[in-house]
Amino acid sequence: MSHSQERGSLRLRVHTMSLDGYIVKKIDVKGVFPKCALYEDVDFSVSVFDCEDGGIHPILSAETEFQEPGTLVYGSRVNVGEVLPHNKKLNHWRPAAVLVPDASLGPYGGERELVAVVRLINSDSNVYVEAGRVVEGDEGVMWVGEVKFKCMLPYEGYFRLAKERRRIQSMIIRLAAAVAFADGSLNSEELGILKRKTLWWIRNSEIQFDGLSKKQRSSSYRGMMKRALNRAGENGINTTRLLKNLRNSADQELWRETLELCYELIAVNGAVHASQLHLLREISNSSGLYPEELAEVRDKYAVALVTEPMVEVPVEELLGIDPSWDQARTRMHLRLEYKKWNGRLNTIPEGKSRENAQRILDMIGEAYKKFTFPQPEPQVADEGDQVSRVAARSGQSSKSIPKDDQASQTDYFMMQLDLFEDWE
Amino acid sequence: MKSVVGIDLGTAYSAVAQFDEFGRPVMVPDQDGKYLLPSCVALIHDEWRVGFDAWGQSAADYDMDQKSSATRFKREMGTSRRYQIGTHSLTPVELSSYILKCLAAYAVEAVGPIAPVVITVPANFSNEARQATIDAAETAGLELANIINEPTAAALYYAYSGKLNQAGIYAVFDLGGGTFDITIAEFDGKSVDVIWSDGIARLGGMDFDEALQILVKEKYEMLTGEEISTKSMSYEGLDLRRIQDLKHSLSRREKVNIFVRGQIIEVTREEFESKISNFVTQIYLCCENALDGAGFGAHALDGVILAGGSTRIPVIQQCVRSVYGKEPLSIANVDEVVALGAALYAGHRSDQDMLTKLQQVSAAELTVQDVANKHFGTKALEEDEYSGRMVLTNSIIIRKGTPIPCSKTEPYFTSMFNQTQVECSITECDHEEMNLDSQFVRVIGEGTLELPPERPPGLEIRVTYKYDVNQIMHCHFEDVESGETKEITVDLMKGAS
Repeated sequence: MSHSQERGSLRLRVHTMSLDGYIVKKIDVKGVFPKCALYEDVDFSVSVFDCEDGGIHPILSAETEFQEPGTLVYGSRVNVGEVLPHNKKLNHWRPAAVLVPDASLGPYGGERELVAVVRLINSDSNVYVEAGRVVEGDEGVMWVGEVKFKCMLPYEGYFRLAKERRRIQSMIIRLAAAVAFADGSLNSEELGILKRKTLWWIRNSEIQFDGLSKKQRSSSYRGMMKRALNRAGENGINTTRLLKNLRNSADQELWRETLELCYELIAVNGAVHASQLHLLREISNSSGLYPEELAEVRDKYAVALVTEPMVEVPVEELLGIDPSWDQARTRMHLRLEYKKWNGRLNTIPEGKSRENAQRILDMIGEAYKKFTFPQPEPQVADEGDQVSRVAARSGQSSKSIPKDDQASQTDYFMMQLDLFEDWE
Repeated sequence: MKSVVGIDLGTAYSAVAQFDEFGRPVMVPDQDGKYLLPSCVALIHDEWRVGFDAWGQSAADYDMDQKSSATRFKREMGTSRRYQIGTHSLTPVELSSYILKCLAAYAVEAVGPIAPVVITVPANFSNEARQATIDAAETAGLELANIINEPTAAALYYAYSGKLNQAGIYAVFDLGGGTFDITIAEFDGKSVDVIWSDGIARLGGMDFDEALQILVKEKYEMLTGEEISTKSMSYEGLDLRRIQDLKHSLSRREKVNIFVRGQIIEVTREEFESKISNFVTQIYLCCENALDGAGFGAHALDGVILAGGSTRIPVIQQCVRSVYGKEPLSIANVDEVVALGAALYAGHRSDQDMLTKLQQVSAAELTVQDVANKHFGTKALEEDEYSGRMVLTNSIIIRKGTPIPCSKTEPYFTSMFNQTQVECSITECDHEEMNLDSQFVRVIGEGTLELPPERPPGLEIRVTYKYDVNQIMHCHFEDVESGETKEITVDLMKGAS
């Protein structure tokens, strides 16, 4: 038996054709199967890479049927059937996979030279391919071949998208830091949330192939957070400009993510400051999200926002009342809010959340009264913040939030940041 | 033959009524001839006391750290709260069972052995609280025939009494010591069809008492400049029993004087009304929302009937007029209508063989149809109207306010190629929630429907929910193509099986 018979003599080619109006790249196989494939049920597994810059970057696919299980990476697996003596040779070109450039994303867009890696694998073995590489069961791989081909990828590459994503994330973290510092201080819970968010971005960035090494990625995000906290601590974040820039860049999903992060930061304290809610309103207004979506995000955190002792914030901010609404619209909004929260009271788990939901109902009652039977209310000035107290139930008193020394706070948390070595 | 009784287990007061041998509902008195039993439990000289004996103790030690009594525990039904009475730590279920046991004892003494009882619960009670009520009956050694929503019981009594001038749609406005319920129902002779029920779980006369207590304290402090600690209000003569008397007086008079530490404090009705205005506003909002839920305006109502002692407060009656534009009908004792209605319902649900001929005739004339008091649905992938993405949502199948018994079938479809399972979840929520946030949507039953492999997506899964009169939800998930099914039964009082 010759060496070539042992290894077989499969050949590959990439053929460009039109399918349902789309240009597709068809990866074909022809020739003799290796001897080890005889009497085995076999599959062709295909991955595609862009190696033009010297690296090995997988191609991603928008079509779920051309994705590896659990990732966005292009992966195709086609069953050939059992290889028997009479069909051990493919006399004609047989398709092993197709790649639709319009549904594919590479590290770079435009005319690229790609490499298709074709594996003949035993169907019964547990060959597991991740990011185009065999990570498990490589004993089931019977043959590997590769073929280069030119391909026009119509979309911007994912490296550029990742860079853009980091730019937006940098804006989001600055905005979130501004919200956290809006009450004059940053505490460890708030810092924990910012850190958790950044770590989540780091993980996602890795999954989404940003082209950075682990160290570069960690350093990039760490710097992003440090700068945001420094600027926020010095009250140096121009939120108006930031929101304008974000409006030009972020999609709805990112706006929602931004709002959720900001609400989470405010809710974690169990005490809310008027300036935080004002900023949150600015973010909401800039987001372009539908009122229903905004209400959904607000509701998610509302039970944590309304705490005892009652905080010194305008009730309207907490209840999502737009100052531009007329009285009738405000009353209708409050009625619906009451209906919603009164219904929820029985479902919210017992404890702090339920108590806070009860407070929301009391606040709605107070606000409705105000908008139905307006009376001049005594106003208490506290460092420029308008204050409205809700004291429907007994035992409620207002309490001001201590403002810590901002500079020393920032320094302290910068030191804390240095402890985050687990980022790498 | 055993006597048929119904119990109104109230936050402030409880009562028991009998469906007598002539088929009439009548109140059962205690040894002193009183019909209302304060819902209080106290440990006095190592002896458990219930009712008036305990009420005195409870009023005295209400604001103290070391208590020898407990009250208002109905509000905590279904929670993990415990009440420390002396060295004893008791749950709301245990405390409620003392009240039930006491009322049952009165009934047995007055009318002999009793049949399985009906107990009332607020319409807006959570499932846990309803279950806790069932547990309390069991702890008290009572056999429970059924539970009924308080305003439905009141409606049943009004329908039975024939005191409504005409058939039509009425609002039953039930404001008791601890909860507020509003029910819109259609009355026709002795039949009651509930259209919509709503309520506020923690709002009642006891909140008004506390507000009044604070008002008196504040007025005293303003007059004298001396402070009264909130921990010693009972000691200073501001105990809740006295405050309750003051509240009752303010329902009859514009102003009332009360002595506090030798000072005369004048309290006006206007001041009291201002102090409770937030609560009144919430009642107003709830009433307006109930009209929305029922699907018509106040003009469509033929009248408003009252239940619960707190409806005697003038500002509450003013609130009724304001929402409905109608004078509330005062045609029965508002403290008793719920217990009387419960007795009627007990008769209505009783085995005919247990009843006398007259009882049978009376019970047969009554009909009552209630509605689902929550939304019931399942988890399903649906397209988000904003983002266009497929997201897991709470898909409602039986809506709140649907007359029960009812049955509804909805088609769903498999979403993936080679989908071999469907997660079958039964969800419930009080407000119409799409988002599956676990804070607002509760999963009350779960199971898995196994599907054949290697099939394309888009195959129909037919889901049928059947809600029967005994509050049992029968859920049927069927893969139409293969005929595979999954049955999940949820006893809405007890949980899934």
